[in-house]
Amino acid sequence: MSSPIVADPMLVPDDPSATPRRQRNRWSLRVRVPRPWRRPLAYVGVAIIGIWALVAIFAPLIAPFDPLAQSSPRFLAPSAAHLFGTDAVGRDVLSRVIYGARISLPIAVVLVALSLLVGGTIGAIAGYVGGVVDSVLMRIVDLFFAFPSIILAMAVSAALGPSLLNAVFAIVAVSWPSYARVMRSLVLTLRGSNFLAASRLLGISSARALWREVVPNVAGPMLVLSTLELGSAVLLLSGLSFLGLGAIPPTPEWGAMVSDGARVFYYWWIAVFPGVAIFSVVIAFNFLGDVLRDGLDPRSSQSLATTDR
Amino acid sequence: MSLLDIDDLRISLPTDGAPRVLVDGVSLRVNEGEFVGLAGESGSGKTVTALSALGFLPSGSTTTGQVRLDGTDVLGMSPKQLRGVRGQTVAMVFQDPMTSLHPMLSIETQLTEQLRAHQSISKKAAKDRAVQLLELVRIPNARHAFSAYPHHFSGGMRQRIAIASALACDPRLLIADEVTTALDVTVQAGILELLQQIRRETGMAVVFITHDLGVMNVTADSLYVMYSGRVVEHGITREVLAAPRHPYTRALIDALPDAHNLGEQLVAIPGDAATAENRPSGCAFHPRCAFAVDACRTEVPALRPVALERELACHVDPFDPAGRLELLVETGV
Amino acid sequence: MALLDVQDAVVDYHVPGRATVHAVAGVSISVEPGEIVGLVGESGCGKSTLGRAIVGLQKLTSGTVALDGHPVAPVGRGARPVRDRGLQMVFQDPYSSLNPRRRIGRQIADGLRRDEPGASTDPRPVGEQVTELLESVGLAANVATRFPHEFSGGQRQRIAIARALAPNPSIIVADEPVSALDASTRAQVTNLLTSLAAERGMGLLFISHDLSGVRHMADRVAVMYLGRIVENSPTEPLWGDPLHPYSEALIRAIPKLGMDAAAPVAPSGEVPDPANPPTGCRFHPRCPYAMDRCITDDPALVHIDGSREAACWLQPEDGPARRLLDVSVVQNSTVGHP
Repeated sequence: MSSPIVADPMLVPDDPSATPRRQRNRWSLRVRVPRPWRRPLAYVGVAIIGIWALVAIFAPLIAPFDPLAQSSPRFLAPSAAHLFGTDAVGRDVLSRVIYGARISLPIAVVLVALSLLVGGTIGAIAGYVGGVVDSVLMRIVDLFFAFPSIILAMAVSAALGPSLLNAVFAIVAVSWPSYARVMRSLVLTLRGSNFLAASRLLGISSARALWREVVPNVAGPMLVLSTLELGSAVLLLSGLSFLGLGAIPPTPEWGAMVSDGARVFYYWWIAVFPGVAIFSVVIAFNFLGDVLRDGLDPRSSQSLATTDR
Repeated sequence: MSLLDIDDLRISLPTDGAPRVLVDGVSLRVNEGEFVGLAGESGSGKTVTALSALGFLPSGSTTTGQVRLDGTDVLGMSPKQLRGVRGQTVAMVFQDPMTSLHPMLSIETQLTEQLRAHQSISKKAAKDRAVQLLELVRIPNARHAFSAYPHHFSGGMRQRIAIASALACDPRLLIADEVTTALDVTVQAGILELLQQIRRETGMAVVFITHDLGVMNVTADSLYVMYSGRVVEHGITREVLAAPRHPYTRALIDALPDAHNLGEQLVAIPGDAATAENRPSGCAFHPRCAFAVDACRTEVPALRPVALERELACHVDPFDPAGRLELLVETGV
Repeated sequence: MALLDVQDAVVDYHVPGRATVHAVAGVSISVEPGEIVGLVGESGCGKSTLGRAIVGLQKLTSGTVALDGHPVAPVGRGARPVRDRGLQMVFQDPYSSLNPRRRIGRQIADGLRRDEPGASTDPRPVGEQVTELLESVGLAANVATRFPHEFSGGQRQRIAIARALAPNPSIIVADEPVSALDASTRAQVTNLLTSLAAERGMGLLFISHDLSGVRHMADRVAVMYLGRIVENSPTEPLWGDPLHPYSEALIRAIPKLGMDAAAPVAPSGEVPDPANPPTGCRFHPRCPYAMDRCITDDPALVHIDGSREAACWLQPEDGPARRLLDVSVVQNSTVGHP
């Protein structure tokens, strides 16, 4: 007594309903691009970073003066000739701010990349292997977290000697634990997932499964973390330079410039303009990170609004 | 006068494009002491419909129609009036026993708080009443259970406590939304027995929502089958399920493992369920229906009486026992 | 010797501060080629744990699992031995059993590797094999490049099944494969699994809490309670004439369709804490037929009659089987509710 209504639809003739989202390479980095009128901050952030990137690339063409040339009168207030004025030894502040982008931006990216590499690897191993290895690694992480980052960075930097390279080491040493913790937590969650189990059942080795199954799933959240951390990296670098532990004079690093300018604050333009530059970059990265985070998170269910069974 | 009277309820959510219609002209009636079943799959709108009886509407939605509780339209009530109704006249129990109780408050607090919010009684009186409620729902060692917390209890027990909490102020109508869906079959049997017992003892009416037709068959007196925000069939539960007249109802029954299907392959419904986002024109079921004719694509069928105690929303009515042999022959029954 | 042979499987969980939980407390079960065995039980009975232990995702505390005579080892650090890959699993949740970041074609292809001794000898290109697998589960070939989020729950289960079929398994353990799906989709996926088992001569261990769902498709059913199998019978005899009181209680609790369906009956009491099971027969506190012996002695699962097994003192070993309805004790198990 079979029903005439429906035949068993073994073949699915229609394509799956949802349209594919943006796909890149072999993996899907599903970033939901938010509508502009809902998240204007995103566009502000991207714009600011974009502008600074262009400034950094085209610095020689844009800067009116050589950033190291002590060619003009000292302590000139902002004017037509020197839009941002000149500093204590007669260098054009605008040119120095422009060339400063060439230092702060790339170094920030390097800092984040290195911290991600070190922290991410340690966190992934801790989460994936578990047991004693996890405990030991996490205690080391806790140790680093116990110190305020700037103090620790100062200590490392001072021990190694003031230079930009050493500042980079110091900052990576201080930043990697955040990445380790987040990565470990992501990996722990993924470790229990069924698709990983299925992969192992099919004969994929543990190591290969870590690369193929786990890593693609951590890329998104780690990207968000990295973007947010870029701002901190810029700040830390500037902070160290401000303290004289990072870029050494006459390198036009923003933090160092703020430091020089703070000593002669009557001539406010020497500290303020580089300070605003730092501020703008950090804020821009934060906007970008916020938007990325919201874009990657599943849409929060508005209880009754989504309804319904 | 019926206890609950939903009249041409229409609930839609605004979107960037056309509004998303969640409930599209649903009318239903619950009389005193009656057990009414609301059946349907995800996206049918059954939960939204039931929630409207409590005055809960999706935020930002546009609603037309009436939801009359004891003659008064709930949709027009002020928040203060609604607070008086919820818990007192109408109460609700939800699906997930793990989240239906506050994890950080003791059972005693949760029950007595509820009581004292609606009635001005002393703490002692509230406590006695709460013990009475726990005994009503057959929680062993009711006094002992008082000081316990939800995590001490199993899923089935938590549902019983949630039911006790709902019954605290003797509501005349209980809305049970998939209350046994997350429970094991033996635990479910216990809860169903409990609901029948409560009904016998207190004369409470129940709106029972579930997608499980077996449960519906042994629980509800009358049944509304919903699809894509509309009622497609309504009648006495056992009759509707034994002799369904709407193709969707029929298909749902046929998809169930049952004595009929022994050794045979289960029959499945082709295609995907219509959701609020992609509701087909005309009869929402027509793309999946083997009996669809042209009218089904263009005109929404109205729910109309087709027999004593049976209403149907279908242009074709292929299972009309009174005739249409030609149609049956055509489809090769 | 059965194709899949599990003997005396035990899985213990140690929770600090509490007694050891015997999630699986001595289970023996077998599956023949082409046979569909339903493993049925309620929450906490240990059926999922047993399923995972059988395929090697969970370490057995003791006992053996053999596939075609060879012992199956738990999945360790290295790649699973080729021989063991004949034992595959389909998981319950369609939303977490596929990697959201990888195309489904590639996930299926994971099981089609030819680079190892004893692995697939199919000379056709991987793409073609993936196409064949997709078609065998009722999906169009061109969906291989899509990502899981583009599919519905039922479709994802089909993909998961295609993936499990890739290494050409002789046994599939399906852990509640349709419980998370809509009623109408359940039929589709259940049908798919049973057809595939028949076509390929594959054994299927179908784990479920839904006894009705298993009835129409399983050759035999094993009923599990608190870590033990209490009855193992061919499907229809189990339904018509259960040997174990718990099987009977399960059947009576199911709400049925039909004009004269009786109200479902709940067994008395609640499932005990697995860390603290009752003495003697684990079901005795809830059993309407309990005798003195049941309080002290734990019955083993023994052969009763034909191919039926039960663990109950009412049923004498090697028969004759006693119909529970013949037993002259209180029938209505809800009398005497605590």
